[in-house]
Amino acid sequence: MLRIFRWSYLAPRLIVLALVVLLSEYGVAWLLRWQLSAQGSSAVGAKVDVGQVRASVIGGRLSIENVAITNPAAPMENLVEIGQLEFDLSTAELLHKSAVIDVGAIRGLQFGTARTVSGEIELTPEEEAEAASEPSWFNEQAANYAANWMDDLEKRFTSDVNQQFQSIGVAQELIERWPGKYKELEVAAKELKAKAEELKAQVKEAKKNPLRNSEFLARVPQEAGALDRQLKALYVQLDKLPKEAAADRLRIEAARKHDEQAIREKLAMKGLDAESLTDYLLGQQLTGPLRQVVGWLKWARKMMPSKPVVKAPERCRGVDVLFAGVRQRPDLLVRMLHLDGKANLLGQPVDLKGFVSDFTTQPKLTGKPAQLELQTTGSMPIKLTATCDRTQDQPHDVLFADCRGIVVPKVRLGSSKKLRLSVEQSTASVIVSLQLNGEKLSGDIQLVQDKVHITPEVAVKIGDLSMGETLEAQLQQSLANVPQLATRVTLSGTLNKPQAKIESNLGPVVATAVDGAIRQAANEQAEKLIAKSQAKIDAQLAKFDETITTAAAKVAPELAGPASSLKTLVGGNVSVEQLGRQLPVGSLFK
Amino acid sequence: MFSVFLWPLRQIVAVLTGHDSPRQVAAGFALGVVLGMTPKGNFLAITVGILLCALQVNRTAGIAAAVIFSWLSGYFDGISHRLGERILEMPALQNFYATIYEAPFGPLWGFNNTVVLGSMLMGIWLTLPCYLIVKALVAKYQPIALAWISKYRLARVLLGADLTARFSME
Repeated sequence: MLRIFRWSYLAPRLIVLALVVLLSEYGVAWLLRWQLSAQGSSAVGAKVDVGQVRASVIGGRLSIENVAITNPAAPMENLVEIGQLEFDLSTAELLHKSAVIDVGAIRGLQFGTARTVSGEIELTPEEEAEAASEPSWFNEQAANYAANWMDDLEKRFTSDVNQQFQSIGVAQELIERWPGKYKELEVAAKELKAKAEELKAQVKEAKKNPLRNSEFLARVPQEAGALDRQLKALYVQLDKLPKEAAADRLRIEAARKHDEQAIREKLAMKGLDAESLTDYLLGQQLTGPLRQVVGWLKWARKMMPSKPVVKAPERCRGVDVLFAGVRQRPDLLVRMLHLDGKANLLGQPVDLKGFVSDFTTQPKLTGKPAQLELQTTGSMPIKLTATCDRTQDQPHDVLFADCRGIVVPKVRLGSSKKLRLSVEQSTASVIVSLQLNGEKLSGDIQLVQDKVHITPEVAVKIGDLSMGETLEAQLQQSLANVPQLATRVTLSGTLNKPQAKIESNLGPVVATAVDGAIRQAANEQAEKLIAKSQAKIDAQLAKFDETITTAAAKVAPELAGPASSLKTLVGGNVSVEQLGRQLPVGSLFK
Repeated sequence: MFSVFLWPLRQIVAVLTGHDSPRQVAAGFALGVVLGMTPKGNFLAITVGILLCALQVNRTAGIAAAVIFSWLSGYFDGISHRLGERILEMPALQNFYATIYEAPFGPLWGFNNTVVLGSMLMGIWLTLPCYLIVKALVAKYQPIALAWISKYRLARVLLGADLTARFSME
């Protein structure tokens, strides 16, 4: 019977097979180490370091030491570091092409540890595009609105309002115009006087020889009459000027009133929107933690994809028949994995313990969602539960975290130097409740900080007013009455384009205080500017009056000159007809 | 090194010149038929392959048959699938199949695939006629082929080492 076998062929191959089985005890470990590092790096998008791997296929044991998963966002930092992983594999299930870990343990779990070597790996263009598309969390427009509001406030108060005063311009123009008017009258009076003097001299000369100058003497009454009319006209003009000056004064008054109105309008600001102010103060502060939370959710989705990875069929031919009563097994199933490690939360070290149960690559086969439960002990007690349900077509993830009495270190709120708030170290309770249905993200994060001490920092320069100090004092007074700070962040959108809306009692309190302080400052500034402009206008008006008086005083004697000349010419208060009759020509021709 | 390249040719010539008995050639061919018909990548194909190499049968005939029937089996996939499906879905055998499948290495045998089972059954069905036909043909034509081949110097060269070994054994 044994002769039918070709022993020369079988014997060496059986020996080789035995050697392969023996070597596999070591070879599997090497293969696993390589696979974990390569596949892990590909899945995470950053380097995954794996230390020592010990595996026994026959014994169904797997032990991995010193695993460091790089944070893809920070290559010099580990997302997770694991001291030791131990798994008890079901050998029977392995013979059915299924890796089932009945019980496992992860010890020495640490988060956010520093790396000595960068764990950055070259990403594919698709991965780079995904990493670059960093979502904008908050209503940036609203946050900018608050910053712009502060800038606008500064501009309004610091712009040179004096240059924009209409009244000063009007007064200035009148002051420049009025001397000219009087000058014109003065010149006209002088010309008239000269003409009258000349006529007087001519008449005197003509009287010496009336016969020869009979024609001239005959014209003298008309010429004297013309000069008299011009003189009267100048008197009329001179009489009108005070009335015009009064009208111009009224124009200055009207311009001053307009200026007053303009100042008040310019300094009157629309109240600061409380919602926008909340976004401005808390947006930047909350973006980091939110990004982390969503980053973990994304990571969970990557680890447990919503759609199972479809493997290329091993045999393209035929159909695999599933027999009645046969239990379908997933490729990988972790029934229970205990977690034990340390974490650094808000600068405080905490010990954490927990477990992961029913983690599998084909959840539909097990029909159970994967569960994660973590609990921290120490100064910051946190209870976190997460459920990743992939048993239905629509993936459903739930994350709930309850953190009581956590110590929040001192934080500085607000991105602009113009308005910042320093919140001193306080105790807080945080409740995170997030759901991810398909790609739809929903839920909220509630943060309640007790016994908060908020110090405002205002660096707003408002003209020559000590606005920063006023505003700071006002804010300090308002914020002192805030017993607790309650913030609620509502999440919506999708995992790739998440949106967050912040509601907090901080925004309304600060907005009210800022509005009150600004209104007070605006009133003060307006009054000051109005008083300043009034003083300037008064000075201008005084100058105006003085200019008119001086000019009028100059013009009056100038007009008296031609009047006396004409009077001398006609010899007192006589009319032109009388003047004609007094002339010798009349008597000559009589 | 040269002998390595000549080995397949020598094996073919050996099949025809009576290195192995007609029964060994026919048995090797029959196993090759089963191996060729069965889709690869499962324990069934591996087992048949090991048997072909481990048993005292003509491997050359078996490998040649495996190559030919691997190519041919693709054309019979439709029939294999229907045959495998009919057998795998027999209600009376479900418990039996389930027991085998649940046994260690059960899924690795690949017998739950319709084409694997259908092709293998077709291969087994072809085994006996193939065995009988090949045995008869080899018995009849082996002496003729030996005489014909011996006329050629290349064949003599190819056979040289084997024949020397054979005569020296005798």
